[in-house]
Amino acid sequence: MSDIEDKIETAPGKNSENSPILHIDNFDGPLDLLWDLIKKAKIDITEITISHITEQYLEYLKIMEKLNVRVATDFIRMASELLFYKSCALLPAGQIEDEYFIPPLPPELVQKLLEFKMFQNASRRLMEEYETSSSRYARENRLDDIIEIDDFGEVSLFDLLKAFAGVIESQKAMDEEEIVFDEILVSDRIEYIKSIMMKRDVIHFPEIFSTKPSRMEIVVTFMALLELARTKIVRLLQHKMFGTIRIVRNSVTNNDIIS
Amino acid sequence: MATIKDGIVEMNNQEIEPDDSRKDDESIKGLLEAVLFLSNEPVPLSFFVNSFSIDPTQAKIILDSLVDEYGDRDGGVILQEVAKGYQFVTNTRYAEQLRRVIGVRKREALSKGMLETLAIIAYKQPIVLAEIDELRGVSSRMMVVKLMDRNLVKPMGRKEVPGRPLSYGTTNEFLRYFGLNKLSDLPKLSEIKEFSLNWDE
Repeated sequence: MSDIEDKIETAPGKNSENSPILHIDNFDGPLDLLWDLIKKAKIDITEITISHITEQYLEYLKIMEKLNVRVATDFIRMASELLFYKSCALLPAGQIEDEYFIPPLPPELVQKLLEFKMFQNASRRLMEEYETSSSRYARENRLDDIIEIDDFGEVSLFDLLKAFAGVIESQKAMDEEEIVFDEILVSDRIEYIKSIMMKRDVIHFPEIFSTKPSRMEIVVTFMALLELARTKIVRLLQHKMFGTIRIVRNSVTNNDIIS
Repeated sequence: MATIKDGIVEMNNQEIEPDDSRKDDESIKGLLEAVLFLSNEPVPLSFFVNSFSIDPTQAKIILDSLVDEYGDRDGGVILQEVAKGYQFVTNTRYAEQLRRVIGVRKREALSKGMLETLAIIAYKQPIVLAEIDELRGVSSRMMVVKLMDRNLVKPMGRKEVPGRPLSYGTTNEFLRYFGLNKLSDLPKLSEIKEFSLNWDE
């Protein structure tokens, strides 16, 4: 049993009472365990006896219980299946003359095991395919951005102010609300815009505001944007005239956007 | 003008230059290369056939020669046949450096259980949950749900057995995930060794 005990001892996770919590995942289910037991016995799968393997299997379940493991129902089910096969084998069968005949594993169980193993190996092959394909990277920018970007030129301060006025304007249209004093820091807004820019190279000007921005938020966010543009962390681009202003991360060069 | 969006090809015009169907191979090759260069998604052969009114055989020959050219060159970028289309991808050789410098992330790997379930679905599709459970010897519902969340597996319909259970199959994303062009590119089950009766593992 040493091999199996090894597997248990190396099991991850111990709780405070020093009784290890064993993850059934060590064996990916009863079939995996069964396969391991047969392999350890070093006997051909078609020759191993049902009583031998049942004994081993139950012994393993006992260890699992001793180690405080909530033995999964699937394991128990397999145990009962094995016991069923074993008891079937005990019944006298008419055809068998040889009194020393030792009943092997039933063919349906052998078949099941072999099929299980085949798919387990197939999954290993898939894993290898994955390793290769996950090392290949494809382009991930959006085609829309590439197509439209040509129409964007640099923005003047005036355009920026107009856009700012636009946001202020939309603020006016809103219903009156209770004023809650909410301290908004420029540095916070800078971090916020940066965090958006981490995920996307290009964002539209209105996107940096929340859906119902307070006047304070608008002003502070605008200041944050100016600061980001001044320190050249972002660049501001605008569609010809009066278009939406786009904020582009500066590490992205023009070539990156267009190509 | 034709647009490629999310792998779906939408055609606004039927043909672009219907008269000029016998363009010389070199200029068509350049054109196809340029389209592939801009695309985020694998571009299917049919897209080229429909957009540029090229003969499918001709398109296939040109694309295959492009694949070969990039393969022979063995540079930073190769053209790959994947998920029933063609797509430029980076050479695996530079994956490590790209991760470090550009910050591209490695896709999250699948757990052993998920892989096993996925392998069974891939080879046996369409397959119902009960059959997967039977093959694995454990309940696989959670695995199937997780695989569906990652868009690797999808319901394919219902099996005409009592209860009409849903049957599952793999998605196009599955092909991309494993860098396969089509399902028949999966390694043949019969070729998968290590599955022998003697224990020489």
